[in-house]
Amino acid sequence: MARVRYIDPEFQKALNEVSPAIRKETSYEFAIAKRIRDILVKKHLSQAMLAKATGKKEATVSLWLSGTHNFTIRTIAEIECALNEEILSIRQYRKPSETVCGYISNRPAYTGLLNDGNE
Amino acid sequence: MWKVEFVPLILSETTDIYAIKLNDSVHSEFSDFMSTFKESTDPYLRQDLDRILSSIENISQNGALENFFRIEGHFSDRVCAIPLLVAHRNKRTHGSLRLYCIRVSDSLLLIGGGGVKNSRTYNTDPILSGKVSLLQSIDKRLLKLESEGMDLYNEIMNLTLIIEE
Repeated sequence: MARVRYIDPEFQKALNEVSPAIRKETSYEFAIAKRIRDILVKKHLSQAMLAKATGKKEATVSLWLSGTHNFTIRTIAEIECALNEEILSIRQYRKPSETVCGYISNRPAYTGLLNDGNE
Repeated sequence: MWKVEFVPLILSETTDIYAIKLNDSVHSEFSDFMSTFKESTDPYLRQDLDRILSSIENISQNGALENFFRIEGHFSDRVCAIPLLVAHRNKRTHGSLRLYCIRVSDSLLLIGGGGVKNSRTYNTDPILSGKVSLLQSIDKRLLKLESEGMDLYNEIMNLTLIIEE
């Protein structure tokens, strides 16, 4: 995220009143658009080439890059395959460790060993 | 005659965004735009405003990239509209908001005023066409200053223009 050096207080106040869901949705749309654009630039590809590779119209690709498009997962998958680059990744959340009396481990069998067979 | 000044809205590592202030007014054109539509009774327009504010925030983070903007003026000028995902609505009864700006570069954006777009093109609306026309005049003057060697990115905050109507 780019560091903000200054933000007008009236604008900040208005922004804080925007629904968090709209702010998050917009940030995803812009981030995905920028990611696609960055890949096109890196690979020296044009919007027309992406349109051809995905079987879509150029106007559709233009919409993808506008920062206002509500992508489906299917569309993102198609774009990733056409560009051979990742656009989205899902963070893996680890299951929290189970808490048991005595020693704690995230492997039940090991917990048992540590606690002399008493889980 | 317009006296035009530029007040900082968001200054970030990526993009500097300024609002345009006219004739020593207390508020910028953008501030007036926000005040007008924040209290709108039309829920679509309030949602449009929220999305426009979010778009501006994201432009400051990602850059004022060309693909983010709708070209609105002529090909010879840099006047465009802030991107907006227009929620589905009956266009006969509910217009959508348009906020116009001058995209100087990926790192400098100047925001003007706007209004409700009920017509197919802005030229048929006197309010919107007035906003665009003013920005076109400002942009013409800025292009001239740049051609004379002015570094707008560093000078814009101290710049005052006098634009003849």
